Formats: sequence, structure tokens, C-alpha cells
Amino acid sequence: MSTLDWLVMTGTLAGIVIYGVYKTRQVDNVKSYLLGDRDLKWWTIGLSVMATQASAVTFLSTPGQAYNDGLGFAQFYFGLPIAMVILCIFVLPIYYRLKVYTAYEYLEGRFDLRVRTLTALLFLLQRGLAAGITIYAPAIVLSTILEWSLSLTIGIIGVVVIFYTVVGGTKAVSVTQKQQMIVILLGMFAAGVVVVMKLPQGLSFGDAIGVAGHLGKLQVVDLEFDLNDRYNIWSALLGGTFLFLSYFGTDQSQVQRYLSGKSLSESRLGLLFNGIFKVPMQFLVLLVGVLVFVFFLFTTPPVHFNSANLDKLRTSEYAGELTQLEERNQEITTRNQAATLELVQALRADDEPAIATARDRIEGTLAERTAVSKSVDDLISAYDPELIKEDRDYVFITFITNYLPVGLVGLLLAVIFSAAMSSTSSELNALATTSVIDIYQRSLVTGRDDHHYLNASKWFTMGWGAIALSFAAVANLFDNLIQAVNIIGSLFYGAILGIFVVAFFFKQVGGRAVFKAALLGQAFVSATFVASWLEYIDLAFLWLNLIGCVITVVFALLLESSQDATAVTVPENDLL
Amino acid sequence: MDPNREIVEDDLEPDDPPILGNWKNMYLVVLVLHTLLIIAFYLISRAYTV
Repeated sequence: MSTLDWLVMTGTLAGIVIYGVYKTRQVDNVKSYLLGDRDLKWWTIGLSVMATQASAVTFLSTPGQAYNDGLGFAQFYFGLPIAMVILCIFVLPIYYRLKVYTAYEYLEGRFDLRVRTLTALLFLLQRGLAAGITIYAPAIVLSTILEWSLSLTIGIIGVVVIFYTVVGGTKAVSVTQKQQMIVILLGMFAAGVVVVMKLPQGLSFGDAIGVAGHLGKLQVVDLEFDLNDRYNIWSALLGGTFLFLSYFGTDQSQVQRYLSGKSLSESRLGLLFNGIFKVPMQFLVLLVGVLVFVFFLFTTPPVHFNSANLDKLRTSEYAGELTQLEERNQEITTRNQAATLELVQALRADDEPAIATARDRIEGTLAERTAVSKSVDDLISAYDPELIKEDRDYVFITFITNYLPVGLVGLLLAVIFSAAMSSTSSELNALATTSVIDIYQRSLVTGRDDHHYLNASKWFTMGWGAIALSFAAVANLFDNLIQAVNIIGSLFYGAILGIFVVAFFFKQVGGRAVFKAALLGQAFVSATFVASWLEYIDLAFLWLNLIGCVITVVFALLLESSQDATAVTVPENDLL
Repeated sequence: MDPNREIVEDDLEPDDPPILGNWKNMYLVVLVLHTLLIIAFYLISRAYTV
């Protein structure tokens, strides 16, 4: 990496961190530390909510996903705007009316302490695991590019995030996220422009889109109903809406972002801003991945995108075979390039038979390319069966480091760092808030002064940072990072959402029934996931959200009615 | 902060949105925009169905 890239990357990141620490230097009480004095405007909330969700995984995995499978992943976010509207109508007014610090605090008033503690623990479990992955994702990038050890890279990223999150609390998180999101959007836009400029002379953006479309990369909407299909419009609108209701309505890392709003109106506007711009943003990130796919129709891609694996093969007994495969890959690209130019000409002439012929030729060469990649995967397995062969997370970073101009490489690396830091800081901040407000202060150490709980919040932030770093150290066990994050979320969100649905909409149900129902729901979801993992059943993970929620609600209603039949229910303190 | 503080209900301030008159219209705009986006995506998908 050039000196200019280093300067751009470190300057951008250091500037954001210093600005965040400076702006939050006077945070000296728990309310300010955990709720940021409740003075944020809607655009800060909106960008902060987007930045919390958009981890580095989004900018590493998503373009790679589009490179392989096209734009279909955009459907995953179709439930998000619906969820935003539902939350604005039903959930935000309750949180604001009760002036809670955490989403789980509300549950004690509605049910009892057991339900609050159970829900807080479910959140801590799943978010604590996910925080490790959000640190690990950029660490693999940097460790590969800078040839640092993975442990050192994870440590450096973690320490920077922990530092400014501990110092400034939730306000530091929101203030830095606004700057980080601006850097992210600028960087991704620049990457999209550069990839089009890197196409052969005379080829326009429209030509690239035409080629991608005729090779099946622009299939966004899949109307076919298939329970096992991870991304179709039905799983997105049903399962996805439930996932996003859970995530934005009950996950403290998001709830804390909009509870920092100056008013209910500012928070609502922030969420609606997210509802309008999130899907187009994801679409554009995916589109960059599709454009990178078109770019590599004209330029020889690596036979395998994880350069660390290739370096190992080059110094092994398999070096000769690898060289042969690379030569074959080069030869395939020459034919691929010619066929793609034919397709462009045919598209311009609107010549259907010529389009079909050129498309068949490209698909043939792409199949040959896939066979070469498969042979390289076999070599990697033969060299070391433990090495991970999945390389889609390296596609976009390979493009960034090898083909972007000097200066822009540093900016795009700052994008990935910014994304990692923004989502990790939210997670650590939320984990600490829930630990202090819902567990430590409520049940373990009560009756101490504000200063004690402020210090406890800082210590919990550091403690969760250490746990996230430890989990990051073993996160390489997951093949695909973005799926790992979503699967972990789907495992726990269903039961959590079920508890909140009962709280909001079934006022006759009490704490005892919902507590048992949530345990049953979580047990059923866990069993379903294990059955799916062991391939006894075929079920996409998004449905786990719906299953967990429905079982919790249904059992809560059944248990409540059976209690009503056998005993007189003790009146509860219903705040609604 | 009182660690055993009770959650206190507080009346919400009047909160009309800055544009479109009321929140119902705001929600409607978000959902209509989203529907149009999905339709646009569907048309793109259909145009390139191989």
C-alpha cells in the first residue's frame, strides 16, 4: 500500500475518533453516558441507525455475494421499511412515554423482573457473539493486505473502538457514526464510478448493465414460494419483517440509537429515513459487486480470491499445478473478453440470435473458469484440509487493492474500518447499557450513587470489548460472515420479539405465562436450527424469527388461559 | 440516578411531522415509495429473465 493510501486511511480514521472524543469530553453522568442527553436530531439518528446495521461485513461480503449470485440478496431488506413504520406507530411512543433506558426495562413494568432479565440475557448472549464477528471481518482484510498476524489486527481494531466507546459512551457512538456513514457512502460511490471507468474503452455503464442482465445477475425479485430458499420475496416480506421488527424494536444496539433522539418526532423521522434509504443503499452496494463481476469478464480474476491461500500453494509441492491453472485461467479470459464484446455489440444492435449465441459462449467460458476455481479449491484442500476455500468475502477487497487508484485504496479501507467501528461501538455500548441497567444495577448492586454506575458502565464496555475480541479470535470457523451474523440473530430474535409482541398487543397475558412461553419458543427454535443444520429438515434461517415469535405468542396465550381457568390471576402493574 | 427508580409515564409532547401534515401521511409515503421500488426491481428482473 502506498504512503498516500496510508495517510488517507489513518487520517480519516484518526480524524473521526479524535472528533468523537473531543465532542464527548464532558460526559460525566450515567444519563449522558448511556442516553447522550437525548439531544440528537433526526439525520444523526437516521445515519447512526444505518451505520449500526451496516457492519464491515456489509461492505466485504455483500459485493462478493452479488459477484457470485447477482442482486437477489437485496430482497433480504424488503421487510425493513414495513418494520420501520410498525415501530414508529406502536413501539416508539411507548418507549418515549415511559422514558426507559433500555427496551428490556419496559418489560419489568409490563410483566415482571424475571421476563426483563431473561430477555436481557438473550440479547446479551446473541449480541455478545455477533460483536466478535463484526471485529473479525475487517481484521481478515487487514491481516491479508498488511501481512500482519490476525490476532494483532483484531487487537488493534478492538482497542481503538473500545477506547472511544469507553471515553464518550453513546454520544461518542452516534457522533462518530455520522462521520463514518458519510465516509462509507462517499467511498462506495467512488468505487462504483471507478469500476465503470475501468471497463474497456467505449463501454458504458449501460453496456455493463446489459451484459450483467443477460448473464442473470440482475434478478432482484424472486416470486417463487420456497421455504428452503433463503432469499425470495415471501421469506423477505414475512420472515424479514419479523427479523427487522426484532432487530430495530428489541435489540438494544438499535433501540439506544433512537432513544437518544431529542423528541419522539426526531426518532420517528430517523427510523423513516432508514426505511426509505436502506434498501436503495443495499441495492447500490450489490450493484458495485455486479459491476466488479462485469469488470472481471474483461480482466483476468485471480483463480482464487484469498491471496493468503495462493501464497501457501506457491511455496508448496502444488506450485506447478497452480501455475498451469493460472495460465489456463488467463487463456479463458481472452475468449471471455471476445465473447463479452460480441454480446455488447449484439445488444447495441438489438440482434436477438447474436445475443443468445454470445451469451452461450460467455456462459461456457464462465463454466470453464468455475472448473479452474474448483481445481484450485481441490489443491488447497490437498495442501491443508483445514483451510477455508470460500473466497467471496475477498472479492471486493481484491478489486480495491489491485485496481483502485492510489488514495482511493486508503479511502475504501477507511470505509471498511469505519463500518466495523461503527457497528462494534454500538454493540459494546448497548451490551454495557443492558448489563448495567437491566442486570447489575437492578439485581446485583443496588443503591449506589451515579458515579459508581458511570464507572460500572465504562468497565462493562471494556469487559464486553474483551469478550468480543476473544470471540473474534475463533470467528474463522464460519464460512460466510454475513450469514453467520444473520443466523445468530435469527436464533434469538424470534423469542425476544414474541415477548414484546405479547407485551404490546395482548394485555391480558401476565409475566408467568410469557416467561414459560419464551423458554419454550427458544427451545423449539434451537431444536429446529439443529435439525436444519444436521439436514433432517430444509428450512431457511429467516423463518426461525417467525417460528420463535409465533410459538412464544401462542404458548403465552394458551398458558395464560389455562392459568385463568385454574386460578385467579394476580393483577399486574400494566403501564400501557 | 436512583437504581431502584420506577418507570414513570410521561405525557408526550405534540409531535406533528415537519411535512405532510400528519404521521399517517408520512407512513403512507414511505410504504408507497417502497412498493414502487419493489415494482421497479420486479420490472428489472423480468426484463432480464433469460
